[in-house]
Formats: sequence, structure tokens, C-alpha cells
Amino acid sequence: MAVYFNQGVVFKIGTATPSVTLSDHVSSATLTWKYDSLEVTSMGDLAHKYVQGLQSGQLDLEIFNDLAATNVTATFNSVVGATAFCSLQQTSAATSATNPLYSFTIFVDQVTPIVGAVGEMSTASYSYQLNSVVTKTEV
Amino acid sequence: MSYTILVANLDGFKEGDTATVKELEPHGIEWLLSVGAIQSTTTPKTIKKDEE
Repeated sequence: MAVYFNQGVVFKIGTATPSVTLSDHVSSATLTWKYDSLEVTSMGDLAHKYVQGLQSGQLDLEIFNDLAATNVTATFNSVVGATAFCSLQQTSAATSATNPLYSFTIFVDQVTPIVGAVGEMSTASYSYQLNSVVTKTEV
Repeated sequence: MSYTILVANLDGFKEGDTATVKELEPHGIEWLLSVGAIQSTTTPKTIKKDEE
């Protein structure tokens, strides 16, 4: 078993491809995707039965705002109200079966360019619905 | 036409690189300009002697 210290997740985002790397501003990243379970239980069955339905998912990010060019605030402000292309990978090592690259789009329905109390870091908490299936690349 | 890369976090490029339209098109040139990732590299006009 290969457990790991969660420290090197790579997050990229862009309008046409995942172009801009913002990993060094992300303090937490969670990608979840799932399928609807469509029940197909019928007479004679002794347990519920299901088949795969549509996929859905969510991207949760805790990210430090940064006003520099092509950084967090400018990037998210530029894609709000639209679909953005994203990718996440556990480490920056080469894409492989043990370090797959997850690619997907999100609908950016919100931004929080200004947040926080005096003396606190300006940290945005985002939760976006995926706007596509998740593509897992291993080579 | 070419562009200068102004930032260090643009995938596949280093800050200060010069990139062509073809290289940047997949990322969306208008968007890269809008977020300050690139700037157009303008070629200074050559002044000929008879124009001076």
C-alpha cells in the first residue's frame, strides 16, 4: 500500500485548456465524481439492483487570492459565468497509472475576490459543479 | 506575430519566452491577453535613410 502525504497536488485552469497553474495558491483541493444509480429492481429479485446513470461531480477548492497577472483573482474573475477547463493531479511527476491526470470542466458560477477579516489571509472557498465527464489520463 | 510570456505559471512556457500565435492559440490568446499572461511583441519600424 502506498499512502501519501498530501502536499503536491497540481491544479490548472483555463478557458480553452487548463493553461494556468495555481497550485502554489491552493491549500485544499477535492475532486468528487459519481454516477446516478438507476434502480432496475424487478419482480423476483431478492435485493435492489442498480445500473449506472449520468455522471456528476464537484470541485472544492480553498485558494489564496492573489492580484498578480494570471494569478488567482484575475483568473477566476475572467472565467466567472462561463465554463472553465481544469485539471488536477496528485503530484507533478509524469502522468502514469499511479499518478493519473484528471481533466474536466466546471461551471464557474461564483467568485470571491474580496474575503476575510482584518489580519486574515484572503482565502476563497469555492465549490463548483463539474460541467463535463472526468477524463482520467494514465499515459 | 509573436507574444512575450509575462508570467511564470503559464503551462509549457517560461517567463520571458517568445511564443507564436500557433503555440498560444490552444490556450485562447484573447483570454491570455485579458489576464495579463502575454503581450504582443511589436517589431520596431526600420527607418530608411531616405525617410530621415
